[in-house]
Amino acid sequence: MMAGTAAVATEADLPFDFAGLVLGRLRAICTPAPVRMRCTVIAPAAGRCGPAGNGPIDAIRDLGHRLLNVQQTLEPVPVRVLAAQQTRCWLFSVGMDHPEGAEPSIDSAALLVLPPGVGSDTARATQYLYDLGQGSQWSDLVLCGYDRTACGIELLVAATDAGHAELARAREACDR
Amino acid sequence: MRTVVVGLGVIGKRMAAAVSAQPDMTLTGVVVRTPGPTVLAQPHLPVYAWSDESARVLGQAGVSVKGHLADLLDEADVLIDCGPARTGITRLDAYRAHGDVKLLFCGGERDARLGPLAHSAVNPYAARTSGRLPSCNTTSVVRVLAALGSEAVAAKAIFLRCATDTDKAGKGITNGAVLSCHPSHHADDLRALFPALAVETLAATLPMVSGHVVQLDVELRSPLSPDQLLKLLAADRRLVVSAAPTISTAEVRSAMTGLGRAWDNRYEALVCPIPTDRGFSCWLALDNEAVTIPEAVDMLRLMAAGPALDASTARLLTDEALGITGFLPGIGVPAAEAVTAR
Repeated sequence: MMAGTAAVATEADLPFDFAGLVLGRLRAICTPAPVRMRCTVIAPAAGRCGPAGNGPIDAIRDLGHRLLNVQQTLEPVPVRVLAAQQTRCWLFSVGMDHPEGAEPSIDSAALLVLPPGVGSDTARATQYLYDLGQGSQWSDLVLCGYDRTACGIELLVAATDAGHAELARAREACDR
Repeated sequence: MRTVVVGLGVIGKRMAAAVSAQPDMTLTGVVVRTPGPTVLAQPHLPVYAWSDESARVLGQAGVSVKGHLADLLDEADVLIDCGPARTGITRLDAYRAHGDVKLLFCGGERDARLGPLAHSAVNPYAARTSGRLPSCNTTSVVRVLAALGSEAVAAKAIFLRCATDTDKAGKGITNGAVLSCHPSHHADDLRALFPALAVETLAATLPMVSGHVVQLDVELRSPLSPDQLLKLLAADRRLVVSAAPTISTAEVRSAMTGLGRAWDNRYEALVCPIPTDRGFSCWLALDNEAVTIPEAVDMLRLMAAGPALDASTARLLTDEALGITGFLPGIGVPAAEAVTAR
């Protein structure tokens, strides 16, 4: 296991474990809580943010689809994971649906919010994190995109393996 | 030494940090046109506006602006221009309109009106009032050739360049190589610095952002043993001999993340010399965004002090302030250590 990464049963479980933790965190900071969620994950080339000896070249790999139980009162969340030819970070495109008439909002203080324009691609976003002095392995969830829709909120969130480890530690602390 | 940095792109932000790390330099100001990510991420920087319009745009973004370029030039000793490559000439008049600040232009500038091409190990006093730095690729080759001294008689190099910088996603080639069918500019720059040397260069561009790679063939005046060669290369601790039998630029980049340097800067060029019948071949792997920073700092110091300052002393001061020892744990060792290890 790389330093600063969370333990998972198998490498195939890694993106789904990470997605479950991210979805749980996002649900927790959304008011009111969403009734439905969905998620597409763009994973780094070989499942970790780092050199990939077996990453895709000019291709997207489908790493699978699962239904995740994020929270008891929430119906299982469909999660699709795709791997792309990049190593900088994980990207989570998350949709949250709310009851009609709700005015959902998220606690932005719980995320690192990028200045306008910086979240337009992961190159700018990750270099901004370097500019902040956080290096390549930041532990925050970084908000790259936020849109209100007719049904609720669409979020684009970036994270690294260090963020996964941080969320996993928080889960272990809760479980104890 | 009061120092101004113009531009805060991939080079400018590293220069600002490097200048701030020098015990004999003060970062008097950084001059920008727009509120780019670095300006927003580093509010401690002393920001000056390039123009009135720049001041307006920066103010709108909430950036605290200390003044204008003109204010800064009156109180600076040296200025390094880190603006977009090959546009320095468009800024020269703005600099010359105020004071006698000495000017250094970052790599890639071809216009001789900006001053001579200068490198601290080759012609340290050539740039008296204004000068140009070699490009990143040229800098790495210059290190090798300067360490060899008069032993080198000819050099051929093929430069494999990253398609874009780490912060720019829109300039890449997705799957392919772009091969230039003409000699690259590096040969002219190397001839300017080593007039007696026969030089040929070609360049290609590849879809990567893990640093440039150079394949360098050097013909020597007389054959050298591998240890003799390494002893010569040991003259420059900015050359680090690869600790592994292969160089994976992605893994080198990853290994740099553990060294605690801002932006994972790799100031050193990684080299693995392979003896040949007439000299040697080598791969050079370099961080194209960081490799010129040490020489830029050297030259600012040398331009300010003139021949009163020994060039090797200037370089040593830079190395100490930037933490350049020749050792890159997990990546490479000084050439002198490589000799011992053989």
